[in-house]
Amino acid sequence: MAKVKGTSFVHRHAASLAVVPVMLIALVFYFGSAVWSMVMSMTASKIFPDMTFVGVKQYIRLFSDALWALSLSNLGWYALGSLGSLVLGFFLAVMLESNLAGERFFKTVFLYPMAVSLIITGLVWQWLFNPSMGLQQFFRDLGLQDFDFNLVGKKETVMWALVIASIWQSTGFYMVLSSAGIKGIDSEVWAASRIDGISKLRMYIEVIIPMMKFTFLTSFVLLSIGAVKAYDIIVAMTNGGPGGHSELPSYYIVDMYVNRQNIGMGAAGSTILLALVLGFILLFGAINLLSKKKE
Amino acid sequence: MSTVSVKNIDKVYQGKTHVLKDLSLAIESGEFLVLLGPSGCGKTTLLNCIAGLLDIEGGRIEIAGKDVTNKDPSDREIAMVFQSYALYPTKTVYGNMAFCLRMKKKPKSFIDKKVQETAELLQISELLHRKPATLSGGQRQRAAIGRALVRDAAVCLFDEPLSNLDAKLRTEMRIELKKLHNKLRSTFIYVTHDQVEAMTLATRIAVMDGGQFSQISTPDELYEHPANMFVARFIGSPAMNFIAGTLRLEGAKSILVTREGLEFDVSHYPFVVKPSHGHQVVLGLRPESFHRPTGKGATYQLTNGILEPLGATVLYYCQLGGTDVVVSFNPTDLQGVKTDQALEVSIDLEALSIFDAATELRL
Amino acid sequence: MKIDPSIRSQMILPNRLPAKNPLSKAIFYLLLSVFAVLFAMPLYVMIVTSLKSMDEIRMGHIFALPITPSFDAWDMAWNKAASGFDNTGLKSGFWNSVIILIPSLAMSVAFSSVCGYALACWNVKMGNFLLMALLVCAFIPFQVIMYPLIKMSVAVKLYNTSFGVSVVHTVLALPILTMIFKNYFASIPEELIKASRVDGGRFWGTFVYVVLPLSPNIMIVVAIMQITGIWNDFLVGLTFGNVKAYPMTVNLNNITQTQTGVRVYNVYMAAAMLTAIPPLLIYFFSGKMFIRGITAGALKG
Repeated sequence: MAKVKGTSFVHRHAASLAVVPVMLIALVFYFGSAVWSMVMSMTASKIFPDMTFVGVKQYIRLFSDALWALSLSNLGWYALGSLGSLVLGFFLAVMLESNLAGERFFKTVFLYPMAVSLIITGLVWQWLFNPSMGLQQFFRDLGLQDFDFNLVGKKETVMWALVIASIWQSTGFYMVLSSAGIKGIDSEVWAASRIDGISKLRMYIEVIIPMMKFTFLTSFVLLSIGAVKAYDIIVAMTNGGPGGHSELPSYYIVDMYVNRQNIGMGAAGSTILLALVLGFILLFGAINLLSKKKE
Repeated sequence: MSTVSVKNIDKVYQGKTHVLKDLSLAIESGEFLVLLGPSGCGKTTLLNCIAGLLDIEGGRIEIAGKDVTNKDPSDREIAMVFQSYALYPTKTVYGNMAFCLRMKKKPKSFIDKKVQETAELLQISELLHRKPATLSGGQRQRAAIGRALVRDAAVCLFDEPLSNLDAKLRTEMRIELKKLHNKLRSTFIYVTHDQVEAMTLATRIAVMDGGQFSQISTPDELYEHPANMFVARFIGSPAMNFIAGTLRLEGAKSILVTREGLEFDVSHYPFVVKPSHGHQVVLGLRPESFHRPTGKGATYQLTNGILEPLGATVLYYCQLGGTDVVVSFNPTDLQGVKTDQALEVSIDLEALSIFDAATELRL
Repeated sequence: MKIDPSIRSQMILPNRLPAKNPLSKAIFYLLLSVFAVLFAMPLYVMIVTSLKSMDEIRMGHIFALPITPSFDAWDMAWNKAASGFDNTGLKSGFWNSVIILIPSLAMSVAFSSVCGYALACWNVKMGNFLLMALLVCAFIPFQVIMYPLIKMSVAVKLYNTSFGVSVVHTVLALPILTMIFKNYFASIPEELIKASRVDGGRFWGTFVYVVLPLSPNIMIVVAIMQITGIWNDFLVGLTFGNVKAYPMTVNLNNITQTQTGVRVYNVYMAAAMLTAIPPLLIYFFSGKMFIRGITAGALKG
């Protein structure tokens, strides 16, 4: 960059200076906090920070807590269940590609749940799952006596309730992503497939889906990270119940910090969470690199 | 037998715009028929209708003797090469070429043989395992042609396949296509807006304008005897020169008189229907019909000239009696000529065209 | 006869294989309609329940239309519901959300757009490194930085204030927004920036007179993203907000989580509707921009 004579230091380095606030924030708040969490997780801190080094004791305590283990297993199921958003979103996108009338209407309907707060999502679905006044009663009124739809009330099914609510919330998003991916095929390629006599199904299997590998991978990562971050919906829908069977790690950690006032274990949990997220990103990066190498 | 017959077809958009109106065309087996015209003339639409990618609102289409008007593209025994190549991006060149045959459940050995043969023909055998994204434009083009040819279709359709290539490649591919056609002897229907491509490749050219056929004929015929001013203007580069005038009939003689008083003796011109005295006409002169004075016949003065040397020829932008014209000369003809003077030339009266000023049709 | 240019664009092939098969088209329509009903169902239930009386609700016909629709529950929710600290309803929560939203929006857009601009159009040392760092930051879960953030906000006396909430929202938004802006500004033709510098414009001049005027679209998209995100946020508002001035979502949760007393579902649903209406309105009116907003946020991942 040519230096204009007579300009001040500020002017010459304006760009670099403009970047400083964000850089500081990133460093201090994000990396600093991450480091702090990692450090604290190895101390004897409880309600107040206590810098006595205890190695991995907090982690051991953490993993001995049945509730934490439960939250981790819940996370696994939740993440798996959330994949439903991707699958459903993709199929909706495929169906909407058929140039049907009312495409915009359908898209609007599938996408609006994204505009709504997760608190509201949790609340509405909790209401829908209400045993005496909600869907269960509806089905019973239709004649299906003893129909059981009280998903929220029972510990075996509460995670599915959360999954259903979350699929309702995010499917629209993955539909939009899939749509964008499908549209990546040029119209002349479709015409070529008509001339070659290749059925639409074949095109999807052999051309479109492979082409969308990156989109699917990204979606998978986003879904996983979304599951890791999920908090509001638990508060609104189940508050972790019944008996902690719908707790997720993020909820557990906040609870640990705020209610149980245990900094050490909270920090340990946060570090694990961080590790999980970084793990996903690394996995994503690795798969991406590998598939690029194959080409 | 791979004839194509288009009978009275209509293509209407949104219920009102007649993009193609009552078009009919008969294509012989083994022809290289070019649909030529400017953008928006309907040539690609016609091709898509023949392919079955667009429905028609009236008329019939027959391919290889069978009525295919209501058939899907894949049932019409056609293959197509697209302007953007339209290769399946996730498949290798081999996969692209084999896809269609696989769908038809042909045995693997058969498919392999066909693909290898076609790849040999197009010199892309080393590229078979590569994906389109890793190929150059020219290579993709060959792969697209390979995909079309591997099917042994009765008719092969081309939609401006060379437009996306650079000039040098275009010339090379043009020759390749001509060789290919000579070798395979199948029927090609080719769409382009480039009249050079059309003239060099076609056995016959159908010039289209506004959804109608302007003239359908061999390249020579189109060049020497254009049926109307549109064709005359479109074919040939530099374009034909037009000079407006009136026809004066004096007994056995016919004289074309321009507004500035220049006279051309057109008594030997083969009028289809001889117009009346005083009729408004337009004279069409190709740039090569001007020569240094031969001694016979009238001579004319070219004034205000600018030279454009092109190596093998020299273009002379000048005025003939007030009208701007372009003349092409051999460089040797113009030796020693100074452009600030008027240049005397004689005109080859056998090679001119006369059009009706109002209808623009050839007289 | 020349062909109308407006028609010409449609003369390009009818894009995909329209499901020519009428059977598959019908099946698709059916499936899509079924799903559309399923997706719309919660909104319908919310509206319908909020207009009923509690007696009606207790009869348990969740999908039935209200016999005598009334906005009493709405009135209750807005004005009188017990929302934690007092009985002022969601009204105060609404304004609190607005008070939190405006500074957050202003600060996050200001900082991230300037930073994104610097990274995209100028040579910044370690610029690429910073971008990578930001990418990682974008994925760090809030819980990881929550406690240190609390400690820091206490230290600067921003804890338990609405402005503190705004600051935290800004901090949380900076990584993603900076990346979004950077990607957008990077697509501005370099010649424009160069021309501006030749004309004597420097960092700020170019930003204000050249780059910003080209950015209304991205600004709208980012604004929509932020407004929706901040309005719908719960945890940040709860953690850092003033107990007397919680945003609407926290109020909503407080109203609906009362363990004592009668559960008034019509009021809860009315409250939910009130909280949902602002972002829903933005959604319904901004259509495409909304989509671009969420995909912009995601595709940077």
